[in-house]
Amino acid sequence: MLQSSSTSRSSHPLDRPLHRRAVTGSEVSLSAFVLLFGELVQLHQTTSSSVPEFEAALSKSGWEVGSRTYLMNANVKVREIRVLGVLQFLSSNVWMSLFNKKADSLEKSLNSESEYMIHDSNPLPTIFCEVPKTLGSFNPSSFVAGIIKGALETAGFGCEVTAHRVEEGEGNRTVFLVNFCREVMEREEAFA
Amino acid sequence: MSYLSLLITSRSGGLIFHTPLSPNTPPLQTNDWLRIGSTFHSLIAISKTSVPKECGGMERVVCDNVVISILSTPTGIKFYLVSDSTITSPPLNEIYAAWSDWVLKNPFYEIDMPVRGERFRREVEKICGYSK
Amino acid sequence: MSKSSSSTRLGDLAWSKSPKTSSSLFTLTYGVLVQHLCSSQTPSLEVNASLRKIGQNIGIRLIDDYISKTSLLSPNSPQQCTSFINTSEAISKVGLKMFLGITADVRVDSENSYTLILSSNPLADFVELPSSRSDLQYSNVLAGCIQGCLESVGFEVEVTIVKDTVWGDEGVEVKVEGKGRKKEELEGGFKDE
Repeated sequence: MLQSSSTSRSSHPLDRPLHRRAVTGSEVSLSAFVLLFGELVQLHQTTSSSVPEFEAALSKSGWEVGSRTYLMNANVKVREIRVLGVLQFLSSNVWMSLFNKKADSLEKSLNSESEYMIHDSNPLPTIFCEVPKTLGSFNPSSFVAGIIKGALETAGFGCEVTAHRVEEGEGNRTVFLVNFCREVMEREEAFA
Repeated sequence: MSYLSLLITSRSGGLIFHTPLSPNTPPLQTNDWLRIGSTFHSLIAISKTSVPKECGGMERVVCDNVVISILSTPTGIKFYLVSDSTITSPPLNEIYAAWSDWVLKNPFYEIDMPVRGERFRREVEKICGYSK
Repeated sequence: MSKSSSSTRLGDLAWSKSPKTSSSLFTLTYGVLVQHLCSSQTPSLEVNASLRKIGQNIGIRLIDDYISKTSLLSPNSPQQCTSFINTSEAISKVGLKMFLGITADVRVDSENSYTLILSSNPLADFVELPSSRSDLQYSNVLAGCIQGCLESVGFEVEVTIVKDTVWGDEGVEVKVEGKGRKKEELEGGFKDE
């Protein structure tokens, strides 16, 4: 066993044994997470006065999660500098680390050079969300859109990300549109 | 015909959900359903006090060819499944589990309020093998 | 078969049947929630109260998940919390396992009080409080959640986090004190033995 706790009050996280992580395990139940996420949603709902404000607040929370996940998973030696590379890292590594699965697909949009689409057939956080009619177009997946934006921007790829529900029967299929900012596209051209 | 309808009452006895499970379910007005819900809630409370030993209250009401199976959860929610008498093991625990998923995990559902979404209803229809 | 091992078995079974997600999504989302509450210079005392309230809200919903899923898994011996002390077993061996994948040790302090001892903090791996927030009860959501669950099934309780890794302790200790049964709901039919 570890040493007595009375002396360790001031210990720094880095001084603590790493095996704690293993004790906690790498998974929790989906129930625990969705109920926690539900409280975050309600918290933002009570402090937002409009649907766009509500989505922006939820997206901002997602941003923090995405940013930290990127930092926890990024390879410190080899930095992604190309758009496609960072998107692949996002839709596989970041997705895996957060949702225990890869995104279903990553596609380039035909509409615009700077636009990409990430498909997820059932984004975990919103699996039980049923948005009331009074909230109109509100999309709880703006949280996941925020995660994408947070990860990409922390990697140095400025962008806007929006979430769109794909109306297909009962499902929760969602497409995330990633639009890189002009500086990123100019940099990309310089690499080409 | 096997299942007829499902009713759910809140901790305070208000009807928070009801759905037909057969084309033969009588087309009652919402007010009638509300009345039935609160009547049953009271009957269960009375049934508990009418026996000398502590008990969980009424679990089954048996009529000629209709049975009402009741699940009173420890949190005070009550599920009433109306069926014909051929049903011997009503899937009340399955419905309760679906409730805990599709109603309680929806952040937009307010505790003790009527259920507005459709996902839970679809799940109940699936459990009871009812397709419109 | 001892009661203890049957609870452990039920906890393991419930955990194996639970759909899961990564713990980093869980801990990071919780971190964001705490961060959101702490912004705009809100005093820690208020944040602590909000975290407890959020935990209670979660507990009120979680308890039905616990009861319905465990009843499906063991229909013949439903996990009824018949006495206050019994709830320690239900939380430490079944509830914590089923929802967070961990178990806790229980120290019974008296007839009406016990302490749950967790070897790690499922909410806060590597969280360190800044000195300006040393009075923050980071894990209060856990206390609130246990309180919400127990109150929903008729137990009046007081739940306090007494040790926490975020304060530099080796683990987390949660003290649960029973304050009696809820009266009006007892008439509504809670079993008490």
